[in-house]
Amino acid sequence: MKTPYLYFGRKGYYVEAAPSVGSSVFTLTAITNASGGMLPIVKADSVDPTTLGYKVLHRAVDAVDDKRGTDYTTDYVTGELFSSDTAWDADKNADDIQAGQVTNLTSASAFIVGSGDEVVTVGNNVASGTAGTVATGITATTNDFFYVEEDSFNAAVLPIATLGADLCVPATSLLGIEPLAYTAGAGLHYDQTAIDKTRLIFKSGDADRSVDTVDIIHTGSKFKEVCEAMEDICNSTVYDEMVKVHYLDEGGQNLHNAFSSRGINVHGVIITLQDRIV
Amino acid sequence: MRQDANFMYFNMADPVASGWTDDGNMYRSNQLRAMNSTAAGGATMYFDAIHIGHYDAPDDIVLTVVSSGDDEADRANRVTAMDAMVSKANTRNRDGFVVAYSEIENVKPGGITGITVTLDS
Repeated sequence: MKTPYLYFGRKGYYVEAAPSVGSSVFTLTAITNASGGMLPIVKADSVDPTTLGYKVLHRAVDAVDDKRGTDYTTDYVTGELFSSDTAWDADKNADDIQAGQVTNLTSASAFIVGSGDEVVTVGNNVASGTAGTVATGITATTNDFFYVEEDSFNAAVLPIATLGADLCVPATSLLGIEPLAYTAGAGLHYDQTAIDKTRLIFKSGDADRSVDTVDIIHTGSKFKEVCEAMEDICNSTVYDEMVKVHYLDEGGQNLHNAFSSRGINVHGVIITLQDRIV
Repeated sequence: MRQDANFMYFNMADPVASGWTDDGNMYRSNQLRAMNSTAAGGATMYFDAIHIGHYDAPDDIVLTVVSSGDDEADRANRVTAMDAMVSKANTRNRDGFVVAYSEIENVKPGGITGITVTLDS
């Protein structure tokens, strides 16, 4: 019996409420494959974040003056100048943080990642500390959020070629699809659209009493559309190659049009493989 | 009843010279449970371990592809190799099995340069 084979590549996506500042930095919880679908490697405060295949963003919930690094002038989502006198609730300076503003921390010393611990440490907007300066740091309140989002295939984010990096399974192994809550970031993407998580459950490639899962973090209220997309893909007649449902390459994200045509944006893909011994 | 079945044949060495031990296997294509990347220059296929009569671990076939040192090129090589195996798994040959990979016959699709078969891994 012929069957389509589905291919998934992971995409890291991690959201955390800003912790309290300590030693002039915000130390996030270690990112794991389970929590964020990625393992960012060590990053020093001299490494340009735009070369890493992922970005660290700050989404403001609270308005606080004089707390954003002077390197950052433009909102990542809207493209509006932070200093715009019309785009925001109040006419403020670029270094004044207003609710809803999203800052892409692109300066080298904005954040660091520890060696082998996958801990992202964001620098405060002060002159001291292991990361961040008045130019590159940002001061978050505990109501704000930090987002770590992978956006292209890059060896700075593991795994790229080992277990959990990708998965190919026959469509006949799809056992079911389950909606899961996604509450990190108050259930909002950094552009403030709602997000949900859906779990695709497959027969394990390894042992008969376990399953492999693919968790997709996506546009909110789209569970039914995800099911429709998977039903579409599983009944395709593509037999001579894998059906690429989702993967990252060095150019960015590749998403099957069964998803994109249904208005489903995929923010994260977490692949969990059971019991593999290689 | 005539079956619309497909069998995938793998051979990783001269089986006569090496005594056939783990060097060649044939599986029904619907026993292919999964594939995934397992190294810069490798992806692994997992089959139901029918050869030992139970299934608490699969039979693995590691596909070796060119590892160039360029991460993006290696990623593309692994995908090409897995694409090739999908094509083989969905090929019908009513006159015999489908040769998925063979050293003897020099059938090496998808840029695969070698395979390693491990039973009940």
